[in-house]
Amino acid sequence: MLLRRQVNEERDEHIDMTPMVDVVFQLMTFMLFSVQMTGGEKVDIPPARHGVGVEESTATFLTLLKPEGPDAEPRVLIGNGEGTPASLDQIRRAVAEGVKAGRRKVVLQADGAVPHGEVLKLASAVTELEGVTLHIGVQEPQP
Amino acid sequence: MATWDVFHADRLEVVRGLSTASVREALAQDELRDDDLIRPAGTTVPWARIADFPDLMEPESLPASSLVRTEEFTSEPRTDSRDRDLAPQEDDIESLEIIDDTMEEFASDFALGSAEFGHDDLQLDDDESLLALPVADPDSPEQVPELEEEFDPQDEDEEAAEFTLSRGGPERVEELDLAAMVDVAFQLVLFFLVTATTVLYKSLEVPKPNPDSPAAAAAQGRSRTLDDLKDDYILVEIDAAGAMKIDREPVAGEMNAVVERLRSARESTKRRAMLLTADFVTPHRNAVLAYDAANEIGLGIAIARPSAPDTSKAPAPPAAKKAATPQ
Repeated sequence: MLLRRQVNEERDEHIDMTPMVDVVFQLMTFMLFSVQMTGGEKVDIPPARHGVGVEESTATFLTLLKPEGPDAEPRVLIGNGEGTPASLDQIRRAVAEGVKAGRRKVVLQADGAVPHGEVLKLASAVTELEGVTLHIGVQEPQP
Repeated sequence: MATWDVFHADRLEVVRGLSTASVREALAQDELRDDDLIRPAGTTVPWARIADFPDLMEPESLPASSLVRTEEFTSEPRTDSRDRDLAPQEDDIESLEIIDDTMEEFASDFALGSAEFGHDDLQLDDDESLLALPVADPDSPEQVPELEEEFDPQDEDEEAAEFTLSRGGPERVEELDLAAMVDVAFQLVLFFLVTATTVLYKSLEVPKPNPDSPAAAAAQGRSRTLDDLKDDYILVEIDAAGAMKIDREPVAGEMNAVVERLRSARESTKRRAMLLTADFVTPHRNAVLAYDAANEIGLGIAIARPSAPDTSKAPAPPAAKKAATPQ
């Protein structure tokens, strides 16, 4: 009879793996969604304490990449950290389309090392169009 | 006679139709153990351990019907067989009495051992015949020996269904495991929370720079010297390396210091706006620092457009509009 008791006790101790697998999948899904939301990491946006929030659907994003060398041509991407390098004309057209679609804001996501003059050059080119508000993209200051 | 089905736990075998006597005998011979399971023969009540049935171990007569047994079983708390042997409780005595009474009835009706059979007894359809076994007559149910006032087959079925060899206690309701449901609910909440939240990008609103190139603006004769501008704006200069000067005085390129200097400059001279003059190749982040500082204290921003390094023209005048003051 003692033996039977031992057998009974052993049977109760199997750990069920299903909840652990479920939790792992949950975490994975959560991470997947939350990381995508922060956008690309191609540019090192300068930090700022104050800023206004801009909804993604209300603005056209232009990304200014870090220049490769001291005298290299600046590269501008249409989109937030993604897209192909574009010329000034393409940029103007994209912004114009955005304005027609209701996106009246233009956000310049410029890397911290981009020359200030280049940023202003792009800004002035963009603001030739009517009804466009200019924003400079910033991020939360890291502590 | 009550018959029992017995389940031998060691051999994993069911033996059906054992009488109470044979059960007791098997227990005595140690063929049946306390851990083996037992139930009334032919029923589907849950198996019960023999150890919970100390009555089987003791040589007392059992009633033919399980009706009386019901009361006894369900009122018994789960106790060790040894405890019961020490102190016979009141319940047992009462049930014993009931058992004895019913046995007497049986004995009086069907005392075959001592009676003498006569020729008349062979007339099996006669009520007086001693040989005739009692047949359940559907027309007259009162012929059947009555153990209770009114014998209703329906009652017996119901009570048999209620009869349970389980250890007593309240009926156990089937429990639904809610943990899984709660987990799924939280998953859904998280999912919608993350995907439905509008993503806000942080940005600084800046005034639109003058669309004209610096050269064109200079040609239009709108240039003013920096000293003239100093009367209207707080002058902020940043050179190519990123060193900042406010009103020609150097300042550390760090947020708090800049903010302090700007604040004191505004207090002392009542100027409402800042003029940012940066070199063309100044890193963007320094300019952003200046904007941020201005936003912190609600200063207007004017941006002077530097000319490209290959030209040698003077910086263009600030034709930019002033940014809106405090947000």
